[in-house]
Amino acid sequence: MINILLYLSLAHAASPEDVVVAELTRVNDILQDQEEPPYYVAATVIDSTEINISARDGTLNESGETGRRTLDVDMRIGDTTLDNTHPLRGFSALDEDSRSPLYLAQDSDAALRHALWRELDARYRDAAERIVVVRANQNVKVAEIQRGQDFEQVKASVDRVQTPELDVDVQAWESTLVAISQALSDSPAIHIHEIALSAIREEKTFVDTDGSRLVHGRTHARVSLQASATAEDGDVFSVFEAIDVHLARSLPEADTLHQWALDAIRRMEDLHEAPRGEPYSGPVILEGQATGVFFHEVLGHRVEGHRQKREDEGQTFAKQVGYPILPPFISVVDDPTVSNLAGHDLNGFYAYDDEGSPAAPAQLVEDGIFRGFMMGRSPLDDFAHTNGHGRRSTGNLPTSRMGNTLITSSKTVTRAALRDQLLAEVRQQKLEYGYIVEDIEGGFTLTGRTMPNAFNVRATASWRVFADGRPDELVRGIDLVGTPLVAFGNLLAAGDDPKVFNGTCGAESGWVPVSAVAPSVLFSKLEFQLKEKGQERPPLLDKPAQDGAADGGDL
Amino acid sequence: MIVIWLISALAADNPVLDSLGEEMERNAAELSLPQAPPLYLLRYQLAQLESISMVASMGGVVREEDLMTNAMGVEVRVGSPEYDNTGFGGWQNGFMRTSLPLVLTPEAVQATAWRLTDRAYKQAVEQYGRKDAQFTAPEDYPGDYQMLPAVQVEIAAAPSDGSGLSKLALSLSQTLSDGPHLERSEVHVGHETGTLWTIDTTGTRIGRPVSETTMRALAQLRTQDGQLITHHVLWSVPTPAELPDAVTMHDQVRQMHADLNALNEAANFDTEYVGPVLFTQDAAVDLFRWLLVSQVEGTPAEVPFESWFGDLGGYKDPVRIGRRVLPPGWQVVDDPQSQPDHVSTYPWDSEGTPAQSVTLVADGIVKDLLMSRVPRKGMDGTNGHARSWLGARAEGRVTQLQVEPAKHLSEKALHKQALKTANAYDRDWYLKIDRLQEPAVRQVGQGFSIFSESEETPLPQPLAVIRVWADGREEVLRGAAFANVERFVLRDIIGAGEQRETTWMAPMQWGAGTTNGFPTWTSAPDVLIGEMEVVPVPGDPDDAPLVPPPSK
Repeated sequence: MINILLYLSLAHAASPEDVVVAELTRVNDILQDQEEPPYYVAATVIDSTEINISARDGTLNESGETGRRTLDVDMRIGDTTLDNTHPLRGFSALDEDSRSPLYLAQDSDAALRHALWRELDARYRDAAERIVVVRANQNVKVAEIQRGQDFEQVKASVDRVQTPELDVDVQAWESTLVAISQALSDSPAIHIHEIALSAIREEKTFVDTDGSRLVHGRTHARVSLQASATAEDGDVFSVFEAIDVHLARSLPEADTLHQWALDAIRRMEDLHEAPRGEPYSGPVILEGQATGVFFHEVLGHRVEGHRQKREDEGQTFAKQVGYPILPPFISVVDDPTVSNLAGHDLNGFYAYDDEGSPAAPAQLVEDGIFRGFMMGRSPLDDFAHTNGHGRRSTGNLPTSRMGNTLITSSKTVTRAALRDQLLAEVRQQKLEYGYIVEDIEGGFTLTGRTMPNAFNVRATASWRVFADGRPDELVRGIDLVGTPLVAFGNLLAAGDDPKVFNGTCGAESGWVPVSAVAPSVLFSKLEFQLKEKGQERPPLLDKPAQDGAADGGDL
Repeated sequence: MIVIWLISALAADNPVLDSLGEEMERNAAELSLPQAPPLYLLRYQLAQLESISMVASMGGVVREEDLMTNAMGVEVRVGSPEYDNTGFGGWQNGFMRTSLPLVLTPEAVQATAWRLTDRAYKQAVEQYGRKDAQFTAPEDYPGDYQMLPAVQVEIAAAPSDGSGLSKLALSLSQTLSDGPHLERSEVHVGHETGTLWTIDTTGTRIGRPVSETTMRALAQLRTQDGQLITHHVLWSVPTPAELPDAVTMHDQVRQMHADLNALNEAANFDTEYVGPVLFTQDAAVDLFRWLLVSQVEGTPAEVPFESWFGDLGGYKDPVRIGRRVLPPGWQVVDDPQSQPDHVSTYPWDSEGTPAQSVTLVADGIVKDLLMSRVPRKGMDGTNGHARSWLGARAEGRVTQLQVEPAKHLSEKALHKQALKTANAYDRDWYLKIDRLQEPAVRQVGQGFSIFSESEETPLPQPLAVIRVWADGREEVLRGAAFANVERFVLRDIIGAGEQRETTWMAPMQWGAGTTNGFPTWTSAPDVLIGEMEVVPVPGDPDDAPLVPPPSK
């Protein structure tokens, strides 16, 4: 029945979708004659166009447009209860199913058909080998703690959504970026910098044997500034600014970017003078973006559904459903359907995930109570259905991943009040100072059982706030670290200033765009550890004097 | 069409190069660290190239980049020419390279040189310390570098137009999609035109043209029993205008495809063979490429750096002057100007030394070696054969290699001699090989592996072996490989035939690809080896497709 439906669509004009449908159907029909035929097959073709423009050292560094087409095939043998994708326990050379991205010729039906044939055939042969190994693995290992089937078969999705074209004025951007780079070049406080525009248009064609046929995509543009220098003590410090939007025309004007450059120079000068922090435990305010990254690392990765099934995962929250894990005023939802919030485009917005499921909000925490997980099509016994969070970058198997992680508080205070509360905590704990983490560059977390189940939020600008009223002091060289359950237990209050963090998240299913939106929050106790410090001397000679710039003096 | 000027006449025309020179002088004068050996040589290379890099398949573009490629390399030597930071294993050694902005300005080049030189200098000082700690130079240590007077030349080359290459590649790739299915078929394009500048603190200032167009059509066939057979056609010429005409190129590609299809139908080689092997056509040249070249490239291997993860460096086979490598009467000469129209030719090598003709092997014995300015025991230094790219030590490499036997036999005489030799092994047939598979082609699309394809022998797998019977009948067989080949096999050449020539890409210091490397010309005769071992390498049926290919 599925095959008939698929064939009917061929009445349309030739398109990647038509080619994929025809070849996937042909190969799947033939494979059904195998002793162990596939029970599910999907193919995803991504056509992308990318424009990259960047400037450094006061001149144009890069300007070009590239296109590419990639193909991913997902093949399942066995049945939904146990199939070839089931994790192997113990050491196995077959343990991972990631492979190099498969690039193929663009605008060639013959090449696409050929690549589909080869990839479907190859993936079938791999899957046929792996299911045998999976069954042997099940046979020799202790009984598995069953937490759900390997795959959920869902109602087919059929949709075709127009993806806007890229709208970048290349010449104008080249001029703007070069002008800003010239300003940055003139500063002796900056040893190396780059200001860049990256714009991408991606169109995905997804077809599977359940009858799904999707053509959808996204456009995205980011302008970013990165500057760094090496201090006398070897510490490499940096400033990073970025704005992400769906359409390039929404990017900020040149004036805003010039202001970035001025701010970056000032911040680099301040950071050069700033002392390195010391290991610390005490009250900390995380400002909006830092809070977003904190929740992304500490909560988000631990409530990705597939992690609750793997025997090597920490499963911090696997049995916490219905129990409080955060203060009652905090709620968290991951909602990829939100395109824009508080005037900011959100990076984690999408209409369909990479398993062909419509995106949907996943309520993670409601009034402090843990409610559930982000789910792809790898079900849990108590969470049997996808909520459209199966994601990957090309070359990887989809797993459940975050999209837009939205942290809200039903009880907020002003920024000033939050600071007062911080100082009150500092005094109560008889400390000299507390910290406000103003800027971060990202973070990471370990969710397995072998290594400590810890997180690290990489701070780039933290301020000491003194109990005795001295002016705040900028420090560098420290990162926020901790373990999830202790950290959440210390959350005291939230501000009224939600901020958006847009970034890209890397995990076992590759790099995917994400966002986190969160207010500032106060913790009674968090821990800082020393950031790794570079051991290279700063450049031995002064920066060469740029045309019209001051002589490179001592920093 | 090469024009040479004295650089003094051109110095004012290149503000980017002038600014690099200023930065070189500033760094040479001011870079120092307490107790560090002095910087005695600082060299920059600046590449200003227009380049095209493209892969086409089945009439579509897989990847295409058409851009300015600007890059620079730095070489920092501290200590003295007698003993410096180089020639010791590891990669943090004072040689570095980096990309430069698309639009070059004096300020941007200076800033990049400032950052790169700083890092390279610190690495050189530390590498000197590592070398000093682990290596005591023997009394007859030849030194690390040969200082020579400055060279100032600029060689201009007409820019070449690569605008038609994309269309040509698409068309060739379309040709490969006609006919029976291949597992993979691609046309790779690498085109560069521009100038490579070298300046150093001796006062050397050289501008050398870079003009190279390399295209490689490649095909991979998976036989029904799972064997992977790869084939290719390589064109490497100074400019696109010197490519063969399009009809010829398409015919060559079609022939390659036809050859592969014929092999698909061929029987498998199923004999453990010991006996004579006749190498003809490209395989004849390849035999010398894989077994002789490393014996005449004289730059000494780096002294091993005993790191905690094993020795770094010292990987090259020992090269010996006075060793017999070929039968009596054979001669081998490398002269980078013997084929003045070939893409590999140069009048000055990459260190600015005039190219020289060097007789490497006389009467079958190694008499001389290809050298850069890195000396070796018994050889003070360069003979104009330094080939390098940015950020790597210049080493003596082959460029235009002529291998001449004492005597050329006719095809008939070679056949007769091969049969006579085979008879001694109780056979009435022998093996002939006319092409080896190219490792750079075989690796395409195979993905990263920590375990490379087993290469127990230095000779790649033949495309096919041909069983030649006494009456001249030939039977093409697939699925054969060499076993237990050592370089000494060249001493067992018992006959030589027609002279062949071909172009191949010699790997750069960091490896080879389908279109990158040093284009190299080699002429060598067909040769009959007295005894070789050839064994079957059957395919794995699990690697063969289960599903028939789609209809065209």
